[in-house]
Amino acid sequence: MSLGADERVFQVLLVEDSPSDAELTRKAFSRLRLPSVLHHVHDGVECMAYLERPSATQPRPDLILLDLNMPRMDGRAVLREIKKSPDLVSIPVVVLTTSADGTDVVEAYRSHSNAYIVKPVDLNQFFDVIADLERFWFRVATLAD
Amino acid sequence: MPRWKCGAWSTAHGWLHIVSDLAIFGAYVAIPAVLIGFMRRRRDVPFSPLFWAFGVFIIACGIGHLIDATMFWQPRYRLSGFVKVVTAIASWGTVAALIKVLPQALALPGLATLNHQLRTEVEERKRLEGQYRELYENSPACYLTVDPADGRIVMCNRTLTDALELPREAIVGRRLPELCDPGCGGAIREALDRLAANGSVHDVELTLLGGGGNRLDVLLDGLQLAEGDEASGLAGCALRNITSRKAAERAIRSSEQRFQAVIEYAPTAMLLVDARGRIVLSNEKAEEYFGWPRSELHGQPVEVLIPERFRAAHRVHMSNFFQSPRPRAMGLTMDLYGCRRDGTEFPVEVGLNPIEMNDDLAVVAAVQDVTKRRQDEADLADFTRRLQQSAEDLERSHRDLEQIAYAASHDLQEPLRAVAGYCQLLQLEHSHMLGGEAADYLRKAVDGTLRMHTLINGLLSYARMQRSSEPFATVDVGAVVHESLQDLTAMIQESRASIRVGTLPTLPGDAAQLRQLFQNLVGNAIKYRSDRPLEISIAAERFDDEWSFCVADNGIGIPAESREQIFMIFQRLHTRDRYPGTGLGLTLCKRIVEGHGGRIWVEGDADAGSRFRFVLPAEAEGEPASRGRGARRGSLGELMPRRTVNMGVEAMAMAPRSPPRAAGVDVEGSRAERREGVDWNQSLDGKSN
Repeated sequence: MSLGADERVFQVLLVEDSPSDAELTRKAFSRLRLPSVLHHVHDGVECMAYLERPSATQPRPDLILLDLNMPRMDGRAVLREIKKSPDLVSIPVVVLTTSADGTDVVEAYRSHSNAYIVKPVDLNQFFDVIADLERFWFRVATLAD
Repeated sequence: MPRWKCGAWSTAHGWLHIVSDLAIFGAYVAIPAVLIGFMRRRRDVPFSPLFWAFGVFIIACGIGHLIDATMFWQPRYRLSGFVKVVTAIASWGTVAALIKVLPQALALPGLATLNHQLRTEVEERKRLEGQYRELYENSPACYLTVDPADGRIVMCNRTLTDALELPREAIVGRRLPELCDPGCGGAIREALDRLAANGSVHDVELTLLGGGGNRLDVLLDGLQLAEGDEASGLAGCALRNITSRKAAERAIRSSEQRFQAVIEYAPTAMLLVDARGRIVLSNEKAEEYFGWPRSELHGQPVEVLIPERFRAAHRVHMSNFFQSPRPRAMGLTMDLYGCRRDGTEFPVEVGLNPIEMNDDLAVVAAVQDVTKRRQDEADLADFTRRLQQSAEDLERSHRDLEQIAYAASHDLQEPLRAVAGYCQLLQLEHSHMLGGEAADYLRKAVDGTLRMHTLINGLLSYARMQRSSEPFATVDVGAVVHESLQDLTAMIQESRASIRVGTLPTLPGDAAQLRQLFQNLVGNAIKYRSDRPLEISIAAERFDDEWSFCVADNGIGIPAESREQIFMIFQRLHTRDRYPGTGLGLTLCKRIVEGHGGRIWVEGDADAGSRFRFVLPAEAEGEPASRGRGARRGSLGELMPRRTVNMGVEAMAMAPRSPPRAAGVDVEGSRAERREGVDWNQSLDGKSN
């Protein structure tokens, strides 16, 4: 195990209305070996507010994990807003949801989601998924600055 | 100089004179006698005084000759001379008379001329008689001469014999009443009596009976015939043939009767209304509908049958109708009402037909009481509305249920994931704090949640299947089976199943659903296999407008009593330990087949495997290839009586008992090859022979 050369801390924005899912996700990230900070917002409105006003406490995320079904503003709308915005379009968005519905999948990819992942119920599988995500996005893929 | 003395007379000379004179005398007496006789008989002979003069002159001559004869015995010359003087006077008198009548006598025609004239006259008379006879025989009227005393027919013309189609002998000599229809016996007797008493009759209507059942309707005019001033005792009768007129009258009468019968027994109220709007004729149904007795209704304006508020408009309508009379129906597009005598109203439909009546226009109105129909229509509309409402309710509730199932399945996952997740976190991070029993409980809790997750996923796919709204397309079932077998490659490999696929048709359907159907059925066959090497066959046969499919295996089979239960949701026949599963697979199959308008059932002998059979329509029902989604058909199917299972039984009876021979494809282990099958029809023919 080795950290990146610049010891970069990856910023992950989790958009999730379920506290338990959020906690389990946080747990999954805590098990990762790379330094990362998980920022959690509870719905689309909070997400857009976060993205519009970056600050020291709210840095621009390197990856967004987006739930679909949320109150106030759902993940679909958030995805469309992000991919419409020239500032935000380069941030990879991974849809992480309970819905395995084909319509949702198609719509997400049409809205330029970078990946679509159905949350596994089995915790071990869930950990694996998060580990895979981490490995792919932070080690394999090249992200925009 | 006269010789006053006679010469010598002999006896012979004397008798010569005497006999000759006597003979002359005899003749001269006979001639006037004959003339007198002639004149007495022919009083028409002209110049009778001349004949008298001749008579006297000849008698006088005769007397002269008689005296001459007696001279030989008594020489009475003075007497003889006197007689000669008388004779001379008579002769000259005759001469004078002759000269007097000579011009007239000369004017008299000669005998030849007379004969000729007579002949001409006779011929002329014959010609005239022929003409008259011709006229008599062939007159347009029938003639007969009858004795009014006994009715005997004395004579008749050919027109009558022709009309009666009887020979003359069958008419002449018979009594007139015998020739008549018995029905007019009274009339003929009365006519003969009147003819005898008054000398004439007019327009006596009779029916004569001719040959071959021929009936002749005639009008008889009779007149007593006279001979000079005397009555002859006979009567001439002219018969005018009125058979065709009577037939026309009968036809009219019969047509009138028919018309009246049609009107009377019509199932609707019928009214005949004249151009002034008065009811002329009505039927029993009209009495029934409107409560007016016919006797009171006739003559009334038709408005009495119309509610007060419509009367003014009706008068306008009626006037329009008579201006452009043509058949028309009323009440179809607007509500019309009839008015009973008691003032109550009822809805009607009216058909109007113009007819000509006595050179005037009238209208036949057929009035139908549509109270019941209106009620029925209202009931039907109400029923349809309620049916539509329930169909919509059902559809909505179906849709709601689908949404609920979808949302519920979806939303259930999250707490489930929380339960499973935290339990597993407990296992991961705090197992050291748990005893063996607590760890076991935790493991079971996690198992439970994961199983629940599987069930929820099953429900989700069930709901998703119903939500899919793809219109049916033509599906190559062979290709679909091929794909589903590929999906199951791992299972097939693992179970070392031998799969035979027959030739399969193309039919209208949802390819994805059919793929899942075969996947579930083949998956079941693999899952419930026995110890025997697994053999699975997939085949299809055409029965009329349906395809009958069979997925057969030699697995553990299904007990007869459970064959319906297995298609119900979450029904399982086996413990989870032995055969894991959700209990949703066959429910999904049933939904898919029924969504395609088909039926599914299972058969087979216990322990000898199962044969899942299902039939699918070969052609799209209704709008081809654009049928609604399966779930909708399913919900409609619950409203309508489905074809009974008898069809299924029949199909089963006709289906081959053993798994069909492989006609096309063998899929064994992981090697999935597909070849084009043989011609479907030949395959079908071959099997049904």
